[in-house]
Amino acid sequence: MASTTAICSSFKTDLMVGIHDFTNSTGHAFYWALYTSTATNGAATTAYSATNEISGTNYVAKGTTGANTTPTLDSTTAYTDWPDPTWSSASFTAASTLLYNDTVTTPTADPSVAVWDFGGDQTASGGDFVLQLPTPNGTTGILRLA
Amino acid sequence: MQITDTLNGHTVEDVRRNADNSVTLYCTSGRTLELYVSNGFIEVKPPRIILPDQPDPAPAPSERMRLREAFLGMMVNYAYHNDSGYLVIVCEPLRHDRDMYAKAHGHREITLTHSNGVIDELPPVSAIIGLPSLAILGDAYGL
Repeated sequence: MASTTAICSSFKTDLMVGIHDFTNSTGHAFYWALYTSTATNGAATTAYSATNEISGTNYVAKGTTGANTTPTLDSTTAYTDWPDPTWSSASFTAASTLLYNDTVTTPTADPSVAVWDFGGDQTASGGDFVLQLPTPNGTTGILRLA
Repeated sequence: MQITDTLNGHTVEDVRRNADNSVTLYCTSGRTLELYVSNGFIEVKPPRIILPDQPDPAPAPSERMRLREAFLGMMVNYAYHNDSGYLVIVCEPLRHDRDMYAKAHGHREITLTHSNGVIDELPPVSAIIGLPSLAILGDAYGL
């Protein structure tokens, strides 16, 4: 089994009831967690889980965070962006990542945002493990609301 | 393993390749460890027994090697053979610069490999994964 790239369905309803705050600095903290190829995260994933999360040198459980930009409009499309999540001097293997909100605790703790599958195991050995996000704009931004 | 037992908590101050291609790690504490290739694996040479009135049979240090740069100022935590058969030595930076260094790098794994009996560091391998854009679409459906 493997994970599937998707925006989590629960994220859509969470947006409509005001669960998430993507405002830079004063908003919520969003984390990138890494998973093994055994994980089956996807559209149905509702929250962060440690099940099948990877372990390895310089990976801390629950993943890494970075300050996202306050959502911006590009024409009629809203988008936000993060610094490329990076684990330095890393030695581990991962097959997918889950972006989730680490600040929110209720009604669901650590609600999920989206899942990206890497298409197979990706390994760093003493080097950097980098998730390279696309150019932030209304067409290619990593997370958009069109 | 023996490397862990010998070097745990010790800080490496020099690494030199010897005339017989073995590699000696010298620690600030005075402790040393000799690595050599045996049956395709990097192993630790047995401790030398130095008898009175006999010269130390240790090979004379010869070449200060590139590997020294990887180890310099690192305190050894432990070592293991990974799934690929490489010898991995897990280190952390010295206390005096630990805070600054650890923020950027954390622990460091130095992976040793060998070719034709010559031990060297396996170059670090990075992984860069490009993620595609994801969108919740409204306009695409003419809404």
